[in-house]
Amino acid sequence: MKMMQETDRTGTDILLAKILQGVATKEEILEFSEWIKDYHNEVYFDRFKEMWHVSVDKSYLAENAKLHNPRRFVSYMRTTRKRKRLRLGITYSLSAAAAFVLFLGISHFVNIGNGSSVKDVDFTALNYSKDSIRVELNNGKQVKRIKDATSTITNLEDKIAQNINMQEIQPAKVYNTVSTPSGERVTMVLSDQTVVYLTSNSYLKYPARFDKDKREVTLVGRAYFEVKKSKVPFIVNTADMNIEVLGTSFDVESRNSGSSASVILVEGSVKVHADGRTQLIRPDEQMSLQRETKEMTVKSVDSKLMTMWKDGVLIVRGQSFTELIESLSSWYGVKIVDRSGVSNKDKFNGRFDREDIEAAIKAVSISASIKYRIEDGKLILEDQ
Amino acid sequence: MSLDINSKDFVAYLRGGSEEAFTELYNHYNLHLCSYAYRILNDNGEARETVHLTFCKFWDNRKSIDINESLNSYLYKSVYNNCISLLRKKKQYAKYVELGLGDLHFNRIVQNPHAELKMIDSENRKIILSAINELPEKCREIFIKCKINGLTYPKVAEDLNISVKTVETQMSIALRRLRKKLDWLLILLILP
Repeated sequence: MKMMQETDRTGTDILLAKILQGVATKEEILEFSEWIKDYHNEVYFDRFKEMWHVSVDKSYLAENAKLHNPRRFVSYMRTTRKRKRLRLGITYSLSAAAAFVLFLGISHFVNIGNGSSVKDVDFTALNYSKDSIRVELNNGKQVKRIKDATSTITNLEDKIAQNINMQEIQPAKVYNTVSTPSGERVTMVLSDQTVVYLTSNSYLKYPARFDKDKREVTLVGRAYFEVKKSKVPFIVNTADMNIEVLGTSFDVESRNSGSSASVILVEGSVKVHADGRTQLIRPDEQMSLQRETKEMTVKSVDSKLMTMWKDGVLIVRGQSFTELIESLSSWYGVKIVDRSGVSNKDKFNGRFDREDIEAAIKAVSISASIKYRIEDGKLILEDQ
Repeated sequence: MSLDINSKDFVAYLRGGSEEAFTELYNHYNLHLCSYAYRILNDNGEARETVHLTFCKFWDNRKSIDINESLNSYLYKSVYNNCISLLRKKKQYAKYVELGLGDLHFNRIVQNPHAELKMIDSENRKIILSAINELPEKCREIFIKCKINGLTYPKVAEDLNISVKTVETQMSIALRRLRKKLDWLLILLILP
């Protein structure tokens, strides 16, 4: 009988380990909640938990010891302090978070000296994208907007309203298109009062007036929609998928380049049709479609954080160095040439405040242990 | 000059914005706090980011920070709080909430800062570590895979390219040896 009990306990221990590792299924959680009602089991669990924590702690310290680089963090703190002196009275949410980049999965180290290896670089020498937002109206006219350097997001609605005579009787299908260059973002209000934020390097096509049975738009790039509630479905068509909603807020990214497309839901619910399948997403979930494998995955995210770009804050999550540089280049509208040897296995997280490319690049260079200079209006990244 | 992290003046140095004191603080705590956060979040990336943010907040609010207890418990509590707010958004926690077991999760499963600090310099910790360390290497590896990583015997057998029988034998050797030091391993056997 002893063997029998031994086996039973093995099952229990596997259950407990799963609970502690946060990988238990709902059924296992339920089983655990019943099991632990017994006093003896409760005692056993506490001891098991203690052993688990001691062991995992030990192996964690051993595995991560070499990743420990105090200088990197201190340099970061220095730049934050400098920024603080420059911009007095700034609140925490802006100062500490504005240009903070974390380096994860570090596999190599370069000494960054005493943190001042980054010489002062004249950022005024940088060339910003000269393209402007293009709006093509239903009457075929093109409106060219002059870059507005002071505001983060240009508001298009006034401009468009001036150009469209709403009283005019229009044929059924007339489209407006808006495309944004690097470093520019726009917000617009569609005829049904739906608000759309369009980020840089994106394109949106929408009818001047929506049909009676459906509201349909086409997107290439990334946009955030605050869809006005209505019984008429609102559909976003992209290259890989169609997103159908009634009234909700969500973020769609589907670029011509890139290995995946994704939808992030903030509130309400959306249906995504892709590759002959339909997927429902709930708030604070992100659905990604891998283009090659056609694999659809849904994961929990902080949707408010992930869509902060619409408020002028760039959020980076788990991007490789190349992806990070592409994001920054597109966001700030500057050309960045990467000649550094930063491994693409390293993952970056961070948030960047719109106005300050200088702080962003400084934070990145400290995190990735690289240096930078400006040449012919381009930002050049190199190994130290 | 090297600052003593345990000295009374240390907090005053931090408040005054001493980079040296802050470096000392970071060097002393970072890795341990990351380990703690990792065991709450079960995700190393999130763990390191949470600890990083905790240090940033600490630095930014250093003048107004009110440390009633030790620096030690202040930091562990801050990391705990930041982990918890992240945990609330995670899918794993949602499973507990859906079953009406949210409290169970926080009260019993998540390691609270009090338990963590107690564990750090407990006699039990030494006993557990030495008991596990004294196991023969193969035996220890199998024990960790089964007990700590929660893998089943067949999975461990597959991973190590050995028979399930060998895993069973090694586990019973491990348990027999451990029971001498970790008496609680007997609890479930004694039970009817």
